[in-house]
Amino acid sequence: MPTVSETIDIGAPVDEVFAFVADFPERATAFIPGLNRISNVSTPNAAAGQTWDYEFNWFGLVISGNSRCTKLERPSVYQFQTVTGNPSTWTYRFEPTDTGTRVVFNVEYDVPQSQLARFAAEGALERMNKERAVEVLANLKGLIEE
Amino acid sequence: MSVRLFHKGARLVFVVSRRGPGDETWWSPHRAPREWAAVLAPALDLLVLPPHAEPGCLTCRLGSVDWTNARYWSTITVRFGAGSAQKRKLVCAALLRAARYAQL
Repeated sequence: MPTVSETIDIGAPVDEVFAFVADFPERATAFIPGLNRISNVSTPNAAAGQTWDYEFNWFGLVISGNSRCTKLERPSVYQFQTVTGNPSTWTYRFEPTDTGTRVVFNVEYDVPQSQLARFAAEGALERMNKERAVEVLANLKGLIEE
Repeated sequence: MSVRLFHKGARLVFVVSRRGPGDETWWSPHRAPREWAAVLAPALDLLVLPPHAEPGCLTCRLGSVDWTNARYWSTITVRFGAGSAQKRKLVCAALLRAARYAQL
């Protein structure tokens, strides 16, 4: 599976950064570009096994599907998977630093199964996912820091 | 996974003026007046900006969001003066997303 990985330092305590990312899946619409709606969150408290529906704008089309939290180790790891459509695994790792928190963000994703779609999409997907990962982390930093 | 052209139940909200980060005016046509406080307050809460509600207005530590409800349209004005430019821009974008797509 192709992977993109990006890192950023955020000037806030690790507990606070972890809670901002993991506690409410609905919050992701504020920092993941193109993610417009999260609904039907299965449980009020974040935990492995929590599920939710998402609606994502992809070049003017609305892609909807379901995600599931697969790992939550407070305050160091938060991971979820998209369980419908093209599979992807999103992992956030949090490490305390002298000035706050280092966030390492990793997305593993599958490319479309048909050869034609794969040929058309592979390079663009990689570039788009890398740019999106950079933007996700910059948005997180912007929202958490004053 | 499904693919559609539109979000179900989305509201039409157009940006009519963008004066700077967190300083915008939106216009939204509708058939019945909207409960904008119910749409926008949860979005501010999610961003750890607990809002204070008054008729036609929400305030938080970044500034204010106020609206006028006419019969067939609303005008919403966001005025954020505190916080970094990046934060004002991101919170304003999150509110616009909520105005368009949040489900009540």
